[in-house]
Amino acid sequence: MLELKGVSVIYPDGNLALNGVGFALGRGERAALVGANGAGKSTLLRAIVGLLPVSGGEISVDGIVLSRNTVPEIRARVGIVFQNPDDQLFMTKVSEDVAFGPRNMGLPEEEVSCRVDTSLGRLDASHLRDRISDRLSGGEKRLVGLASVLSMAPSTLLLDEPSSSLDPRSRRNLIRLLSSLSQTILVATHDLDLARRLCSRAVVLRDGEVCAEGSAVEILTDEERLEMYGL
Amino acid sequence: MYRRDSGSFVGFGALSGLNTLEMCAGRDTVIHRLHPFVKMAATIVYVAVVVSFGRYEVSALTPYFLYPAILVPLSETPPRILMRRLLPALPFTLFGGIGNVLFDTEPVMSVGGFAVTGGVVSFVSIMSKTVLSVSAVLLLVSATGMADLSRQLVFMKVPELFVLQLVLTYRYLGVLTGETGTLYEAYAVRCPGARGIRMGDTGAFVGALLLRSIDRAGRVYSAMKCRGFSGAYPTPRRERLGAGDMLILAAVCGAMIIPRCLS
Repeated sequence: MLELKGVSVIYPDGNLALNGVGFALGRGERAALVGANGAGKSTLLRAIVGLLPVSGGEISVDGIVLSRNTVPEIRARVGIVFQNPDDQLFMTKVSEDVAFGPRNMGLPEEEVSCRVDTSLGRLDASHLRDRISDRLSGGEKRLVGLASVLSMAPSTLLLDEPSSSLDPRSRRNLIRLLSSLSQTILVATHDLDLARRLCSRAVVLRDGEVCAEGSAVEILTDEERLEMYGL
Repeated sequence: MYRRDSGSFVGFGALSGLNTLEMCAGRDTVIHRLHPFVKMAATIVYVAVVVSFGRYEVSALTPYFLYPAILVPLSETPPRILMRRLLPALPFTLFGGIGNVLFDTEPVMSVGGFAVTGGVVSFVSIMSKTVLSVSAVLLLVSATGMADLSRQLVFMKVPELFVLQLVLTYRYLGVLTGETGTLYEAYAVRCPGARGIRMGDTGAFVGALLLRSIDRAGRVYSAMKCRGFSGAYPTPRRERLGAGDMLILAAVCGAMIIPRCLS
């Protein structure tokens, strides 16, 4: 479960990126975080995993409140998939990259190997196991990036623009795969079709504030409201 | 200067092409199955023995060509790829060796009635040593893979920070060349007719590349932190070195050291 109460983030230059953002996602719930460019979507995702300091409010995951001491525990529970998969993958081989998180968790090597196989298998990407990360296509990198997070068995997944740079078929596959996951998922996206297909809820950000929240279908099909939100 | 071959400058292509060798590391041959420590130790001994020969001891180096000649087929490393990766190392020694040819003009032997100067002999010696040493290291990468090698370095008590730097540098050579290629493309399409980067634009180009690299480094570090990275290179359990591995290592090292002692 992910809960945000009045979360504010101020950048060092004084820019108020998030202002009192609050919403909660139940276990297994999938929500889309939408908003125009610069609305604060990526900032919010980074704040949830403690990459950006929160200047006000509270973030909690599975009842654990984010603080300096709980950051490692939060990161073990929340997996974040970055917008650019090249930022996500840094080990030479795919198997090494997917094993990176579980090894950092101190798991025994048998368990690490099992998690690598399971997470790649779950995404139909077992054939990529021994490939060189640098030589994968954009879609393959996206899958491996997701596998590298799933191998840590997080309870919550944060996805930043997961469908960007994917061809239509890969995008459909991604929606199918994400729909099959049991994790709580928060997707920051401009892809409103993906948001409607994947998520039951939508949270709309505008200028760092939540300006609408509710059923994804209701919010994301109302063109007048979308126009009003700058979407 | 630029070739859209895997998105890289020709000069950097050789570096990113190390990945091609890395791909060979997934093979299953008798060499690949050896313990990484055996391969690493054998390579270190081999390189040490090869460079220990004097600059005029060219003929004594001859038996050491057997090492790559045997390993290439046994590890199923494509010779063409090995040669392509070897070539970028040669210009450095070539220029060093040419200096010897110019300055060491004392005849030291005669071949077919022709006097051969010390400079020519030492030039051949330097080039041979380079070819042998670099081939040995490339063969080590192709038969072991960077991941196993770095783990082995950690087990050999090399500081983890150094190993991590090595792994990330190795990984990002390819990414950096890709970034350079993308940046160059963006430059070239708005600079029709320009051959390479104009001198006046070089500063801006390099500056942009630097900023992009710093930005990317920050994003990669964030991704690592999110996956539990705390500064230590995560290594799996150490694979035990068996008696057979030790025997093979002893035999290989003996085969390298004994001819050196006898020469």
